[in-house]
Amino acid sequence: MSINLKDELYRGVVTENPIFRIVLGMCPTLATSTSATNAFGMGISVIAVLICSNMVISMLRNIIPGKVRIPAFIVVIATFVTVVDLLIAAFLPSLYEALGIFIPLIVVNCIILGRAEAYAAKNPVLPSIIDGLVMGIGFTASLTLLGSMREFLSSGMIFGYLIAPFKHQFILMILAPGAFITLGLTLAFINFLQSKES
Amino acid sequence: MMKKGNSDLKLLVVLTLFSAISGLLLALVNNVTKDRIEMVKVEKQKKALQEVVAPFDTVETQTLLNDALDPFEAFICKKQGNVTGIAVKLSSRLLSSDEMKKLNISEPFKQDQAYADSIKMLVGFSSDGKINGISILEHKETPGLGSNMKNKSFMDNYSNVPLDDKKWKVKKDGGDVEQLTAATITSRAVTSSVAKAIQIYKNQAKTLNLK
Amino acid sequence: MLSSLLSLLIVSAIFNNVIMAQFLGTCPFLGVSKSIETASGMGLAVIFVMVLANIITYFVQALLVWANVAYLQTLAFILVIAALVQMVEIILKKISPGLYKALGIYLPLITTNCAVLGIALLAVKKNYSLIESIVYSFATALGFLIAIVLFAGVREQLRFSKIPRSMEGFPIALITTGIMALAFMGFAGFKLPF
Repeated sequence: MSINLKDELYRGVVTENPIFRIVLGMCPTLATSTSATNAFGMGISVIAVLICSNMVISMLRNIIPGKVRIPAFIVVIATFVTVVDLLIAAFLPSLYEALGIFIPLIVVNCIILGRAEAYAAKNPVLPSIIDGLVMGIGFTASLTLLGSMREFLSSGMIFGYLIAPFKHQFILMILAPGAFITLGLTLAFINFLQSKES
Repeated sequence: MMKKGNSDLKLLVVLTLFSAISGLLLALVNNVTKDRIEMVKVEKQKKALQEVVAPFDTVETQTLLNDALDPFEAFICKKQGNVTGIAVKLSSRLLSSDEMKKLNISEPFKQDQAYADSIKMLVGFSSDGKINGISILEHKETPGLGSNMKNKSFMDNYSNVPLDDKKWKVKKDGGDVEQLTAATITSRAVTSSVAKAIQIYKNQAKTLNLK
Repeated sequence: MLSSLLSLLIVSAIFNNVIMAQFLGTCPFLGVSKSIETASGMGLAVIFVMVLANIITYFVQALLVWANVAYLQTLAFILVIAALVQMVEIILKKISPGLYKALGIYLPLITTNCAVLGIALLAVKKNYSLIESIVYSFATALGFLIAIVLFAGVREQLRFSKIPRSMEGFPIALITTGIMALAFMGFAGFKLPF
């Protein structure tokens, strides 16, 4: 069975984009998209967990009895989340402080459990790894996009570099209402693009 | 009946095995990272102190108020055995009269609270009776208003000033501290906390027989 | 003591509302708020699970610290919550099959409700005593109930409004939530008289 990497990437980033199309994982999306850097950091962590958990769950898919598969998946995911948590605390302390409790909350990110249930539990190891990778990339890309928008609107910067012609402050964008409204308008725009296509 | 009991047992065994394996993996990773995590914490503390006191080689930490989330501490910084500076870690939260007694701060003392929650700060003093500066560690003040307490213009109120040179209250209350525009509550909270820190420093200085 | 608990209650339920200010629990918030009835059912279920979860995780945390394995916190907590939700499902099926059916798939989804795990973790971080943790979790879940029922009320009304095609569904829901969050921001800096 041949895997077309380009097709898979298109699936993860566009057609089955976890944030914009399937609308999963709202909590971390709204909370960590305060800046492009935070969003990117969260995205990378999710990719790491997705790949590892998809891989292990796929390897064990014929051993895990059906009745306990959800608790078993949770154990696998929680283990990798803790590993990522400890590694970030040790080697990337500023990211650790920026993401706070949202790192352990990756464990309840519906995307990871969703992919485990929908894909990794039914497919061989290599396709599962690829699936984890492309879904994670889709998540990271969308999250970073949102983070960049909010950071730009609130202070004219992206990744800490001043892009706008002048420095300004529109704090609302980094606060709660800004998160909801930005995501809502972005989703509406994407819906609009979709309807234009068809 | 026998069959169901068997398969339930199998489920339990599988889950337990799982948990055991993951527990082992986590113990391994924890072992590898815990020293590094501890080091990060110590580095962070050292960097915070270096911002507000003169260079030092050793620090002695004293817990003044033992609170799990918001301990008040004094850091006695020494270079080659001599005290070069003292930093006080405290917050703007309202202290009870018992706590004020423990800190040896004479009442009556007007405690001003922050706009939201409490402001945690580190106040640095040099051993010759000057306030070096303050470092705001944590706060929940309004972005764009109270958060401007971190700006140089406000921080300069506390930058390298001999303690007896100023009246440590905001100008609105008859003191010498230049308050923030439209953020009097935040300014009062910071000033009130610094006043507490000054008292704590003076007590420390007396015990250590400084200037 | 009582006044500090009362202020904890009000702050956690309203000023620091779990959805409007902390973003925890947004998935079920957006998913189960189409009608006031299901919204209140979900809210009540969340109160039940959250308070019980906080009580149990309080003791679990003490155990983890005693055994010097604090890094197992995430794993232990989520397993406790998963087991708790499983139990609630069984009980609800027996006591109120109607509600059980109405909540449908959203009941097991309480396991992945970031609010439940999040609040359990935060209670540990803030070093709350058992009583404080109970008040904290109850108040937070109450805030969730208030937010979700308010939101469901708005959504029921939205059904009669004309909405541009692209905005239908999640977009309008999110923007409405944003405006509600804006309203809740008015509580910042509110000092309770006790």
